[in-house]
Amino acid sequence: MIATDTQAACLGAILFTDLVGFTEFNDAVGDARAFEVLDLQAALAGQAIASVPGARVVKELGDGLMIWIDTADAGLSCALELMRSVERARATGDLPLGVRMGMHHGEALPRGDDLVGQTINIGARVADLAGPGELLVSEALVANCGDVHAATTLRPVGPVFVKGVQDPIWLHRVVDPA
Amino acid sequence: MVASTGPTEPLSIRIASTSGAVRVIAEDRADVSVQGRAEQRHDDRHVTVEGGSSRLTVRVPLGSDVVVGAESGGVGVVGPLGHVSAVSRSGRVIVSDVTSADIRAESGRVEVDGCRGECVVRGDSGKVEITECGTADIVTRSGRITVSGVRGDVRAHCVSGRVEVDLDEAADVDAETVSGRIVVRYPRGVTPRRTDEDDAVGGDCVLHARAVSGRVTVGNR
Repeated sequence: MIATDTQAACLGAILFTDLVGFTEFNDAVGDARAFEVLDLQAALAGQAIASVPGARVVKELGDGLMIWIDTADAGLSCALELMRSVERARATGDLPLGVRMGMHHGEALPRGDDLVGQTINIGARVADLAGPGELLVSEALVANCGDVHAATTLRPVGPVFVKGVQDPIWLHRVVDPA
Repeated sequence: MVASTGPTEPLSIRIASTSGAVRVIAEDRADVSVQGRAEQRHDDRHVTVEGGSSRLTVRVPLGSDVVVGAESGGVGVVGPLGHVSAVSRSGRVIVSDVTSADIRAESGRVEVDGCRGECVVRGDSGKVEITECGTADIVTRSGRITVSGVRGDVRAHCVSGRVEVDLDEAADVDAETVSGRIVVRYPRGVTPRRTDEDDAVGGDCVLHARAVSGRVTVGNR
């Protein structure tokens, strides 16, 4: 049984990534090439979070990743860096699939090495609406970012709803200032 | 319920509905009028409307920017409006006569008729049909993509659906599918430079068309 310590709830940013069209790609090219693509996504994510204190890949989710970062600012920086490295890999042809990303900010409960809670559920829901090459963020994530990202342009996306959360979650698309 | 906002200039309006369908209509008016059960909040030039399962009809000033979403109901938007963002998990999204659009529909169909600038659509299994837009940036999983009457560049990516682009003038096209089919038609006399051909040179515009296991068809009308 995995111990759960409700006293150790942590506050931070959750980032979900997903390789768009991975299942169909796997069918088309076979397992070996598909695994290479998974490895490349993991490597790019590892590079993006390597120098960021409090950032870690919580787990792999099929063809996606769940990443926790201790602050909203650092989280957004990580996500932007990952978005850029993915685009570079797409441009060179190394990465044949787009990656979509979604972020939210809030409290999560550790469960072993995993994290659980509505913050996690909302983060996953945010990523659902992103297209390849896109990063969507919740208003809570934006509200917890400081001046570091003042130059970042946000485009409105709309509201989404998550079971158990009464209010709509308003989303924005991040336009990379770089 | 009617709320007067005073000024006659376009407003910034956010509308959310959990399960009821939402219809937004632009009118020559200064206020925001809501038919259906919903809460309204006003903050300077920003208006927020949040409804539940009731069907909402929201009448807004001409040229307003609108961000609207319904969890399970459909969304219909009739301009002339500024930027429109619309989200629906399972309902149909229909938008007409807007400056620019960002539309996300998971299983529902998307129709855009008359988007003067950038038209962004993210779909899943529903069909996406765009007629008349400035530029188009469309991605679906299995939903078929049909674009016609576009004046600028087109990006149309899907995983297993068909991509069909009908251009009125020379414009760059970036079309990708994993297992679907791509069909691109140019006007008579327009020749694209295809990036999938080793000896590609010249051309009136650039065509990047990539199908991992599907077919690509390029021609003139």
